[in-house]
Parts: sequence; structure tokens; C-alpha cells
Amino acid sequence: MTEGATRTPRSRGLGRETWRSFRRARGGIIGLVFLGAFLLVGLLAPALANKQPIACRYDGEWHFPAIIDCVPNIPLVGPLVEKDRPFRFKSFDFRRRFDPERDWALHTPVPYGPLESTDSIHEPPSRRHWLGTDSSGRDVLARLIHGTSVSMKVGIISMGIAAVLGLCFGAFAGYFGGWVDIVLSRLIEVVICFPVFFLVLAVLAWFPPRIENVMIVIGLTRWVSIARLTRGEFLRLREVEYSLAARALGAGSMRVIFRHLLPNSLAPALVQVTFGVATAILVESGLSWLGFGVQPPFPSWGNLLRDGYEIRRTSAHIIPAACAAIFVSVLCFNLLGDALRDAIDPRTRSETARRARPGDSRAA
Amino acid sequence: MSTVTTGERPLLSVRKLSTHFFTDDGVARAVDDVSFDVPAGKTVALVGESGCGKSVTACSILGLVSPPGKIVGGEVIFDGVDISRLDERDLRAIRGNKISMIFQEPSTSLNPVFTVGNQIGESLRLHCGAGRTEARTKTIELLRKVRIPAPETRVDEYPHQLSGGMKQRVMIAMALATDPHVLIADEPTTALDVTIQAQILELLRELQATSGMSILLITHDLGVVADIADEVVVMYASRVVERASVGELFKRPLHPYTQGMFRSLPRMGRTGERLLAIPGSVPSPLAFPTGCKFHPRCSAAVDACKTAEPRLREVCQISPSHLVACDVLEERTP
Repeated sequence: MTEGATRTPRSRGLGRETWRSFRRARGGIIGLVFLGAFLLVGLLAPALANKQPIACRYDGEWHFPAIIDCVPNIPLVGPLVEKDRPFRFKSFDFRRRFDPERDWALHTPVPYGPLESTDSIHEPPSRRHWLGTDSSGRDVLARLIHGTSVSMKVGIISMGIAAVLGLCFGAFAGYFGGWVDIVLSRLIEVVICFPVFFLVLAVLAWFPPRIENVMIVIGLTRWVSIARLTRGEFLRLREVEYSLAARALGAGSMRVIFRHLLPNSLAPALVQVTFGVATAILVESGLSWLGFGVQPPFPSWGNLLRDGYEIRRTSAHIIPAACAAIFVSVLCFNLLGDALRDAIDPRTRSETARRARPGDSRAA
Repeated sequence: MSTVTTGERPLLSVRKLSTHFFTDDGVARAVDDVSFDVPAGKTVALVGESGCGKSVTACSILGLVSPPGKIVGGEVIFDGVDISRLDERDLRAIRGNKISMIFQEPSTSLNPVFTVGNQIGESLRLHCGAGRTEARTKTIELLRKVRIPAPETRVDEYPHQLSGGMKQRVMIAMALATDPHVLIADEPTTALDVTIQAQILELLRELQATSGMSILLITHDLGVVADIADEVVVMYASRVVERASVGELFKRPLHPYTQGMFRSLPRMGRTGERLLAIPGSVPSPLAFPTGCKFHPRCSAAVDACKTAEPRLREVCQISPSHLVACDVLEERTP
């Protein structure tokens, strides 16, 4: 029997169905492509802008310092890896020691580190510095690239915290009902009243203004909308027969909630998370601009804006560059969330299909 | 003829079970003083119209009634143990293991996000501690047992790729994964069309013959009852109104409600005759009539029916196991 020849067509689960519908949404695809690019830039920032080369042969040995610098950017496992192990000369300036007779190097596209000062300050865009330099002579493009990883990290980690909290609280409130629901719903109502930005400001007045604290505070406040949606889904799913069937099979509450019902209630939360990432990026930029976020000299889009603001007379191009990065990334997350929402919701799904059909009148 | 009360100890025995729902509008007595036995290896049918408390009875047996519902009295004796007094943890060890349940709507009883094999394998992993490969082998075996063609490929499919009858077979496979002693089938054929119904009933009968399990079949379809049941329990408005073996009940329905039910069935060969309906409608469990709950709709009702709630009693001397809850019927020796 040949494989696959005898069977009905392969499964079209919710994922596949959603993807089919999502593919038709042009905005969503554009968002997805740009976001992929942003994530890649964030992940590979040290290999795109670094004063050390990607690959070099020095003193008869091969080194890959810029690649190794990317390792800490890898999600989950990256931070566990010790940062300064593989390249033997950590604070080694390859360019100064470069001997054309002996050495060979492949430099990064932007051959400057984000913290590296050059002699030329306030330089306008040129072939050497595509976005010029700031008041300390640092390459603006290098800082923009490294700021991408900060923004992506803040957006994704803070919404990761929010998603875990929101899904758990929403699931418990919706599934157990009764006093659990009353307590959690009141908690949601209280937290939803906090203006996130000012809460973050207040918290950072007490705690050291570190980027980790920003992530935690955003995560601790943004979970509410996810929790509300998940609670609603669970109120519906609690009555669904497969939840009763799972219990009749001997599954405990936690198993029913996390294994059987949660995968069925992820869709609305996912959309909310996508929008939340955009908001988190904005909050982080705002905080860094005010000086509460990423501390100078480390780069972030908000810091870049502030640096650019201080020297707006001499180098007017820095602000638009940083703004463009913020604008495009936020726009992409919103486009993605929008398209995802339309693709997941069967009502809007059929509507988009109808709209796509030519000659359909709206007279009815 | 096997009877409900005689013989050895029944496998599952429901004694004076009462389940009430404490709603904002008052207490709904969904199950009221219900008693019946399920002997080992037999099929007992629980019959009644929608809302008479059949499904709540089934859920009460497994302790699956969730608030505002609560079991307020009675006991469920399974294998000598009153399982209505067990805590959640011990109940979970029984659910899906010793007593399994299948549901009315196979399309909503399967989780849409998991493959068939994944869901059947879950009960194996939960109760037998089976590993991944072991569960898969056993699952394919089970699918073959419930007559699903090409089980090796079906095992990796999602519920929406299966037909209704196929899904019900999967549900049965899930329920049978752990070789239960009792299978509670809550209207297993209601959502299926007639030919598939017959197939599923045939499958249940076959599986019962090979495994020796008892079946508690909940249905409102008297045809299904005649087809598969050994004993029948008729429920009306949360109470048992008649209990008898299937042959006895079909030969001699005694309670006016049961009689009305039979009169409302179309018969082969009798054309041009109007079917008789029982006048009125089922009372709401929030506002049951006093006395016999059937009296507002009963043609034989007398004044005494409005005050005294009848108890189940023997009426017919030649079949002492035939119990009826009606005070109007005279004791008689036909």
C-alpha cells in the first residue's frame, strides 16, 4: 500500500485553516515579513554591527568574535552561556592590530560597535557612517541595530510574562467560577485601571531603573486583557462536552484546564499578545526617552531618540531614523494582530472571503 | 427471566439517589429518590423524555455534577463501595477506569485540537501508566476492536476528519480503553442516523458479549431499548415511575405514563390511525406539581393523586420485580 495514496486529504486543523485565511490578508503578511526581519536583526545585532570582525585570522589562528557575541541573544539558552569565553582577547581591537601581511578579516556590515566612540562627532550620514555619528562619535546605525534587540526583548519577554499570568488567571476564573472567579475578576478590574506608563514610572522610582524591571512591570500590568478574554473562552468551554468527557475519563481539574481547554482558548489571547508587544515596545521607548529605561551608554530606540533630541540642531536625521524603527515595528505588530484576529474569527473570516469575491453588492 | 432485585449482588446499585440544583430561582430537584440496580453483564436502560433527570442521574453516579448541582442524598454502591462518598481523588481513579461514560454528541465530546490516538491514549496513560509507544499500539488495537477501518492511519487524524458514527466509535474506544466494568452510555445514538445507530448498538452488544461489562444506557428511544436492554427504568419528572425487565415492560406497561409513551409510538401495519400524544408538557423541576407529578397529564388521575406522592410497589403478582409508582392501579392477578 503506498503511503498517502489511500487516505483522505491531510488534516486541516485550526492552525492550517487560520493560515489559509491569514495568507489572504496582505497587511498581515507584510507585518509578518517585517517582523521576521526585525527579529533577525535583533538576534544577529552583534554580527551586523560590531567592532570585531565576523571571522578573522589573527596570529595564525581563526576567530569568530562577532558570531560568538550573538550567542547571548539566543532566546532561553543564550543568557545562560557565559559571555566572554571563546574569543581569547575580549577587549582586543582587531582593527588596530591588523597586519595586512599576516591577518585576514571579514568585517560586519557596520564595522562599529554600539558603544565605540570614534574621533568624528556629529557627523552627517556618509559612506563610513550611514546614519552619521552622535555627540560622542558613536555610529548611529550600530546603535539602532543594537537597540532592535532591546526593543524585541522587552516586547516579547514582557508579553510572555503577561501571557502566562493572563492565561492562568483567566483559565482559573472561567473554569472554577464561584468565589475564584469573583476574586480574580475584581483583581482584573483593579489592575486594568492602572495607567501602565505611570505605574512603571512609579515602580522605577523605587527599584533600580533596569530593563528587567521594565519588563516585569509591563508583564504584571498587561496580563489583564488576556485574562479577561481567556476567562470568557473558559466560561464557554466549561460547558462543552469534551470537558465533561475528559472528567469522565478521570482527568483532574488541572489536566482538563491546561491540556484540554487551554489549547482551544488560545486564539483570542494570541491576538491580544501581538497587540501587547507593540504597546510594550512603545512603553519601553518612552521610558528610555525619559531616562528610566535602558541606561546610557547602552543603546535602545528611546535612548537614541533622546541623544538625537539633544543634538537635533546639528544632526537632524537621528530622530527620524529612531522614530521610523519604532513606528514600523509597532505598525507591523498591529498589522499582524489585526490579520490574525480576522483569520481566527470565523465570522470575519467568511466576511473577508465575501469581500474578496468580485461583484458582490452590499445592497442587502 | 432475570430480574432487578433477585439473584446475586448487583455490580452497580443506585439507592435513593437525589441530586438537586440550587439555582437563584429555587431548588430544582433534578433527581429525586431514584433507585435501580445494574447487574453484572446486563444492560439497563434509563428511559424518559428530555429533562426528566436521566443524564443528571448518570453524571451523579460518577460524581460529575458541578455546582450549583449537588448530590443531597442516597448512595451509589459500586462493587460494594459507596462511591458517592469518595473524595475527588479516589473518584478519578474510578472514572474512565472502572466506570466509563460516552456521550450523546460525539462531535462535541472529542477535543478538536488532539488526534484520535492522542485522546484514546490519554486514558491509557492516566490509568494504566502506559508509555507512548505502548499506548499507541493499544490504541490501534482498540480502534480495530470498535471496527474502524484502517486504524493505523485513523489514529493520527483529527476528530473533524471523521464522520459522526466514526467519532462515536472513537468515543467508545476511549471508554473501553481500560476495560471498564460499567459503561454509561448517555444517548449514544441520538445524534446519529438510523443505520449508524443500528451499527453502534450492534457494536455495543458485541463488546458486551466479549468483555462481560454492564451497560447503563440512557435513551428516550424505545426502539433502542427493545433492541439492546435487559432491564428498563422509566423516569418521569426526576423520579422512577416504573421498573421492569424489558420483556415484561413491553408486554405489560402499567404506569399511565409508560402506557402513554407506547401509545405515542407508530406501529408497523397500522396505518391511518392517529398517534396519541400525552396531553400537556413536562413540568419544570423548579415547580413540580404536588402529589403524583404525572397527575395533571394523567387520564386515570383521581383526587388522591394530587396529594399523595406514590411509591414504587409491586402490582402484578406473576412478575414481582415489576415495580410501578402509581396508586390508582389496583393489585391484580391477570
